[in-house]
Amino acid sequence: MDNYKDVPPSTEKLTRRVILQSSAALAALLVFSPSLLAASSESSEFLQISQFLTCRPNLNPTIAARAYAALAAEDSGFAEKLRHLHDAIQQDNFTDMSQFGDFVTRHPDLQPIAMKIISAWYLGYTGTPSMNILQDDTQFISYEHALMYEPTHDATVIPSFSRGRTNYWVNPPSSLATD
Amino acid sequence: MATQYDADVIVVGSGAIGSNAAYALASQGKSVIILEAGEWIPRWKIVENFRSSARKGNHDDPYPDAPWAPVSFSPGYIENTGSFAFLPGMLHLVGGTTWHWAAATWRLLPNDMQMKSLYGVGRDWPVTYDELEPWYVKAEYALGIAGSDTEDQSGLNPDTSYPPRSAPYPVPPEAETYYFQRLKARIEPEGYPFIHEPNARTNQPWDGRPGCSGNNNCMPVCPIGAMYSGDVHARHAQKAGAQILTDSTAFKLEKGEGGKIVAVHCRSAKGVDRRLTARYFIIASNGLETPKLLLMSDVANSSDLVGRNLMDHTGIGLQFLADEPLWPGRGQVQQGAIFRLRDGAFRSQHSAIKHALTNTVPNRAITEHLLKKNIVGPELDKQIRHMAARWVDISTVFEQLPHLENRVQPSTTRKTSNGIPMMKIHYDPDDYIKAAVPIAKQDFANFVQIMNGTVIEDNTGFQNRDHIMGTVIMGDNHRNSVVNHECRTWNHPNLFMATTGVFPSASVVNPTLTGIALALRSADIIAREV
Repeated sequence: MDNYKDVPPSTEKLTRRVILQSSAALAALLVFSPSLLAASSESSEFLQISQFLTCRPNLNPTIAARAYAALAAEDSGFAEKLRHLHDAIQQDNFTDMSQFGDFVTRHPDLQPIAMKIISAWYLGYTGTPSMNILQDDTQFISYEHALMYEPTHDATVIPSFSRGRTNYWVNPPSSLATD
Repeated sequence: MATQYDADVIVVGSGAIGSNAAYALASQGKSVIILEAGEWIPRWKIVENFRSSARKGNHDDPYPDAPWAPVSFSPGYIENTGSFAFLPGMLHLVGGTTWHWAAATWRLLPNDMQMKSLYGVGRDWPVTYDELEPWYVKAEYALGIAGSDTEDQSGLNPDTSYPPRSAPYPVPPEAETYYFQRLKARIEPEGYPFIHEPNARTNQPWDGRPGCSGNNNCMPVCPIGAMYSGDVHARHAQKAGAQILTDSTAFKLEKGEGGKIVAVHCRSAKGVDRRLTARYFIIASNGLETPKLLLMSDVANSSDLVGRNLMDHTGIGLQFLADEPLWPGRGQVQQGAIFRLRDGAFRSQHSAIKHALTNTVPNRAITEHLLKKNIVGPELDKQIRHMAARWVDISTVFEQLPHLENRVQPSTTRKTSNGIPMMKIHYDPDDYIKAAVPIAKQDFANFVQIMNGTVIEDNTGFQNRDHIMGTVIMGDNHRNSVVNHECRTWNHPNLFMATTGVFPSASVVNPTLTGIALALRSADIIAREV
């Protein structure tokens, strides 16, 4: 994050990377379980499709396993739909996500599954969260790794993970002129 | 032989208001017991619950929700029978619901307390602003309030300080966010005064709390405790000698001779009951649980007003995209208010209006919005950043008037796991606030036009604001109210109410600071009698 004149940028970045690595390692320990091992081959295919759909070449395999488990849990036909999506992408030689609209026009039945996968990665959960009752169909996948925070990570915090100090907010992000 | 008591004073509820009253009494050498239905859990556990939940916008979610001490969002805990689903997010744990407030600590204006005599609507308070003023100061210093000593908080007279203060705020205002600065620079000249919101989120060390570092997570939990929550004074009360009994849900107040309350009965998760005696009792279980306990006990209700006159700052909201990057989400979750119509002769016709600037990191709302429109790929990342920089979120509140039919009652059909009734609520937003909605919506249109904006949502319908008032209403005689100007029940000389439920009028400002000021005043009265 910018605007902390007394914190050298390199130190700040290093610290943040170390913190992120540590939390990833911790998350891996927490989710290691036999049921996830059984799903590992599907997870590998799921990871590849996820990387394509989100335009991210290096998605975290641990989060992929969590996302797969959540999506499979809410839809018993998920593995089959995933295979159809995989086959259609191959057959169409579909390689550019900016042409996603054309792809789903050809395959309208595959749009919901593709959007569910993209949503899981961006939001870090599946289902629809309830705002005022403790009862819904959601499953938690990830917070710090939710892709929706990546486009703004230099300008705003992931809530509860401040990287600033009191009153840093008096200034705009240094990117302002190009935002 | 002299009567033996378990304590001089028993306080039911360990939230911000009860704990401040308990500390005031314990620090004067009184023996105090605090009863709390929930548990005492450390901040880090709540923070981890939040981080590992899919329901991050649900403010009750990271808190303990036990079958014997449910949060208000527990399915079935509140049954609604009115036209509006009255569902405030209330908690059961040591420290109470100030764990997830956004810490706005306005004072009332003197006129807020004279609605009937000045504007011919609602009710007057039996206590004046001047009488309450020294207690506001004590409450502000207890919580370490950051506020401006130079602004007119009515919005009416720039360059003056109002309402009157006998001492400066303990902590200076935090810096204005860039988002606030830009909106103020463009909207204020069009006749909309932007006022700093006094808040219990210290920006310098205060009473063992650090200054806010902008975690942008005041709701549902401040990870560092810069924001005040009631557990601060629960700890202070304990250090001063008060005993805190957790897993102890009060379910009956026992009447004795001379109209006095002689004991409170409380129950554990396992259904084990205890009877505790005291000279005085303070009920500080929030504006819903407090009247429920009185009704279950058949006490303090000769007026038939316990549980009635339920009020909230029922409101509406606006989200739009401005034409320039403002970058909300840096700093706390809300800052400042827009007060064009906080007070004035119009209050005889319609409710006052407060617009507050929400400053949360908007990525989740934006991404959900974009995904619904099937936006994906590089365009999704691009639009998330573009919209996150320009997102403006305004939360608007109105002043509901007291009405007998808006009420809370114990449920006759549903109970907690240890056999204590849940609750039933009837609430209809009234014509007084409905008359202000078109004016607020015209303000919305003006804000959007001034910022050359694009509307995301400007027709939310009424929303909960979680400010519960009126249910143990204060008045000047035993026929028209539950408590007198001291917050002492008319029917029982040793039974006091410490809750925003005593408010006779709602105003448009967050009620907790006034609730604490009243409770500190009540504690002072009790300390002189015990």
